[in-house]
Amino acid sequence: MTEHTLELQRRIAMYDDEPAYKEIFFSFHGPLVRFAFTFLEDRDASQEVVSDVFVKVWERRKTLTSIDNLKLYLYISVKNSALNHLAKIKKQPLLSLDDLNIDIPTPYLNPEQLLVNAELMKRVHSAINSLPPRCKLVYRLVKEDGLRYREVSEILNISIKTIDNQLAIALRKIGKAIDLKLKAGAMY
Amino acid sequence: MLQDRTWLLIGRKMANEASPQELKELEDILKSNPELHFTMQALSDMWSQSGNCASQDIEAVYNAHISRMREKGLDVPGKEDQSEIPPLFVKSPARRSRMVRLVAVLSAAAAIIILLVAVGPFRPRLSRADIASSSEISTRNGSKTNILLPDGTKVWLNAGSKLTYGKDFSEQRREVMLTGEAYFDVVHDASKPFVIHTRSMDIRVLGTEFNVKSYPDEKTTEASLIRGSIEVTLTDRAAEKIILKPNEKIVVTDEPVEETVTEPRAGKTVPPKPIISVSHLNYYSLDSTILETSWVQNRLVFEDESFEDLVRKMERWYGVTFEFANEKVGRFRFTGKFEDESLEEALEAMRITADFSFTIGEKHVIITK
Repeated sequence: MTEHTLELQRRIAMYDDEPAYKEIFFSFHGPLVRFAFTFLEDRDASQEVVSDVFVKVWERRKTLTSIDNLKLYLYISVKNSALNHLAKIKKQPLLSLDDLNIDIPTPYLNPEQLLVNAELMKRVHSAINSLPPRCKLVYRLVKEDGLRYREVSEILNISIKTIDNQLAIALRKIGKAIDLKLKAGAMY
Repeated sequence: MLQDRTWLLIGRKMANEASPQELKELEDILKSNPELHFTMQALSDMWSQSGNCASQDIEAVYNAHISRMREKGLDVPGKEDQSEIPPLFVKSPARRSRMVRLVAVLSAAAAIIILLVAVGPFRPRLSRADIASSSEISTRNGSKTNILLPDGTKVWLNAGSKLTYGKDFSEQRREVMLTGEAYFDVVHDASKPFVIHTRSMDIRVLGTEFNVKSYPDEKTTEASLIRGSIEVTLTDRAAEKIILKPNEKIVVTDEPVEETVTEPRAGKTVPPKPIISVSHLNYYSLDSTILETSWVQNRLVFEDESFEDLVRKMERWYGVTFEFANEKVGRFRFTGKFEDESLEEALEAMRITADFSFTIGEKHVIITK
């Protein structure tokens, strides 16, 4: 995606290419709204924040190619925008990532492959949902949003070590849910 | 017991953040903890799927976004007097570098494999009136199935296999008969040993997960243990019991082999001895999938196998028959993995590294030089 993204940036910068702009919008809008929602817990506000960020992208289209990592730029912009918005409404800054409510999308089940795993997936999903907020957010950003560790580190202002640890916690918990034959006493 | 570090490494692997050293470290851990393989493969399958997001009509959202820009009096993308956009320069994807050994390529659609073990619809419990003297479940070549035995034991039956059990199953003993290949996840019940009879070995279990392979058209019978412990007895040597530990497999070669000349005892004939070997499970060199049980996840994985041997597996997998017009071709060796490839795709993939042609007939494939 990154090489292609740079190509899209180039087209926007040089030719005001609308299909390219639209493509970037389509690619990132969903995850960004979900990310914004994490902080704002308000659908409309989240859409607005993301729309604002995309407006900014268009406004600075001539210099868009100077952004090395557009995805990262978008996430950081959305976060900053969301926090500003929060500060205005709630009149207090977000204290900690652990105060957040993280939503994890339900896993997709292919109805053609009949599985006892409807039950297993529920178990897995419930395991993920019971993770502490910060852990859940890191998991979601890495797994669902496909962000690199160093990107997550920059976006959330946490260390790589923390990301390693949070993800380990998440996977260990999911692993337990998957491991059907976990006998009492045997620990992973 | 697995350390935090293991999960950290798994995370890095899933997220594509692991260095080669870290991958190797994880591989070594997996080898000493074979039970982890299943979990890892499940995680891996789960990871590669995207979640089911409430999908808004993104087109509508985009239009709303543009309208909003217009309302604010901003420059809007998509004006009529837009300058000519030069034709897109499309780069063809980089050629996949040839591997010395073949790896079959998954298409993007095929890569979405749902979790773990595919369990088919549960068979409804037979009412008393329906139970014949024995129950028999069999699969043709080209299809697999899953069974739940009366005691809750799960069995995955590979293609071309048959499992039989009597109506008194789970009353005193739990006994089944198997030809072909099956993966068992046996419910623990110390009071009722679970016994599997095959042509050349009997396997006695308490509560474990393992794979048994005993096809009539193959020279060997094998049992591979994933978890727990099993006790194997050869059918013609009741006194000798071999106990397997996890990550071990036993292979019994049924055809007696020419023994080197030994001094026969006067008057006695020495019966030919089946060759038995106990070894470790095999891992696919490229991603550490356990070869012996990959079929349970709907993968056909093979490592340095002759075409001849591989074709037997492919016959069951695809439900076709193969014929070699040229004997030499049978000796080509392959390493690879098939997941959702059609027969044709699989053969085409194999042709990348080996020089042969094939013709696919009704349900019959001919391989020529």
